[in-house]
Amino acid sequence: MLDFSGKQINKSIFSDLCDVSLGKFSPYIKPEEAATVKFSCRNKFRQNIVTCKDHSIESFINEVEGLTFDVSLQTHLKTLPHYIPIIDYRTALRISLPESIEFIGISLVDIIKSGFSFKAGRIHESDKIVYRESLFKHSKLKDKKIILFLTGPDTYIEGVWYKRETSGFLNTIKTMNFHAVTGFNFSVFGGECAFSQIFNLKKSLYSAYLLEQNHIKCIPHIYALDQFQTKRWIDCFKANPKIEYITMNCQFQKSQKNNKELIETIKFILTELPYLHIILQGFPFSQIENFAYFLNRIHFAEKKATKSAFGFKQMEFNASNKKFSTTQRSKELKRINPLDLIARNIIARKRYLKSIHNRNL
Amino acid sequence: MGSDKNYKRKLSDAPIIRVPISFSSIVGESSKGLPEIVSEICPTSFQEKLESSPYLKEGIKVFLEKKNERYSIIIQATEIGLVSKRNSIRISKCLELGVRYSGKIVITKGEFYARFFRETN
Repeated sequence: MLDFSGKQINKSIFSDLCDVSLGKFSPYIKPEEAATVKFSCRNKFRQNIVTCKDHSIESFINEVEGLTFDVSLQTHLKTLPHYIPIIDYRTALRISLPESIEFIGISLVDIIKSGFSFKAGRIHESDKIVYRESLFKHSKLKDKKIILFLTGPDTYIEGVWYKRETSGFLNTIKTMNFHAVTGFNFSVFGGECAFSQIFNLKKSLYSAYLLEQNHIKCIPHIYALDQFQTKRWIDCFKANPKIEYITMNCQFQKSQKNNKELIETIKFILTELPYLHIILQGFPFSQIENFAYFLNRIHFAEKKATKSAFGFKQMEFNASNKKFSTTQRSKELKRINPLDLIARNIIARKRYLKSIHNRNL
Repeated sequence: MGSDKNYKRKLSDAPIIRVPISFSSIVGESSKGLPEIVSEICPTSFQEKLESSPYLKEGIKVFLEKKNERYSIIIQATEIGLVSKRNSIRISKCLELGVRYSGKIVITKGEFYARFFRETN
């Protein structure tokens, strides 16, 4: 079997031991999809994922209404900017941004007041989750359009998903008036049980559906590790032409090879769906020119402008030589309030992105 | 967490996935599965403060040995501390469920701790 880049996949002994390879989930998951499994599907304590061997597998499948990607989505979003800065809740409480920055993003962890803690080297979940319901009510950002990105550590993602009813999650985010909310970013890692991968992708799609059912505008979160997964998403969005925006968390794509594969996958999806736009979270700016003429339909959401400002680093775009640079911390920069630096950094990022767009037109 | 072609899960972020509430309430409290019980009883990690000693160095593996009602914290057959009564009860219960804890020495703000992690993979 060949992978997405045309390379031969060497099956491990665990591929044949995955129930997907036996056709147990056929036709929803094809037996060939188990070819990339590299680890045992035995997971007695259900750590991180639900595998093909799980005794309660039916309850999990029923929760997301099956393994097919036949969910109906209707969200229509007006044009989003190509750059969406993501800020944390502390910044959200204090910062005021110029009118030219209309959209901002915030992550799941930043709307959670309590319910999780970092103790003895690991993230712990406690009984009750409390949200920062009034985060934007008293902030200077109340007139901005805010997108909630449901990304973060698995413990948060799975904990909020599990307690979404008991903690009143959907009602809370509805009252927070987000411009749009992304589907949950349930993690998918290559080599793990083939059922787990498809199940988490469906769970993510189903979460977008639940958002819509609660009158919240959704941006489905996708991920695709191979041609089977890519095809699922293409078929899903062909059946849901109202969806113009999707998102993908790229924070783990660090190597050149991984980025190349990711860019090819995105180009393929955008070719098949010529009206679709994708918001990439945490994608390295050094690679964005590789999207070439697809850039018009690619949007970037990241924390870099904020993080750099708190490290007293100033981002600058030089319009004459079209170069982007980051000035390292200096005594002078330390005198500037990081909140002012955030706005400057965001504007530099936006100008840089605009110049790349102009070059690729 | 994110996604990738290669396995990049973080040890610090290892939740146990529980059967959806709407489905677990149908079968009732009494029929909770092993993952649900473990996630309730066995914390993902805990730590015990240690007295400074020449045996202690960051990263050294420590072991647990039951001594009466409490567990001793051991390095190379030498007891360097005791696990609290509360955590000792937890360790015993978790051991019965098949969950073990692995430990190592960590230094936080100049203090020595024996830090233990739940082994559920």
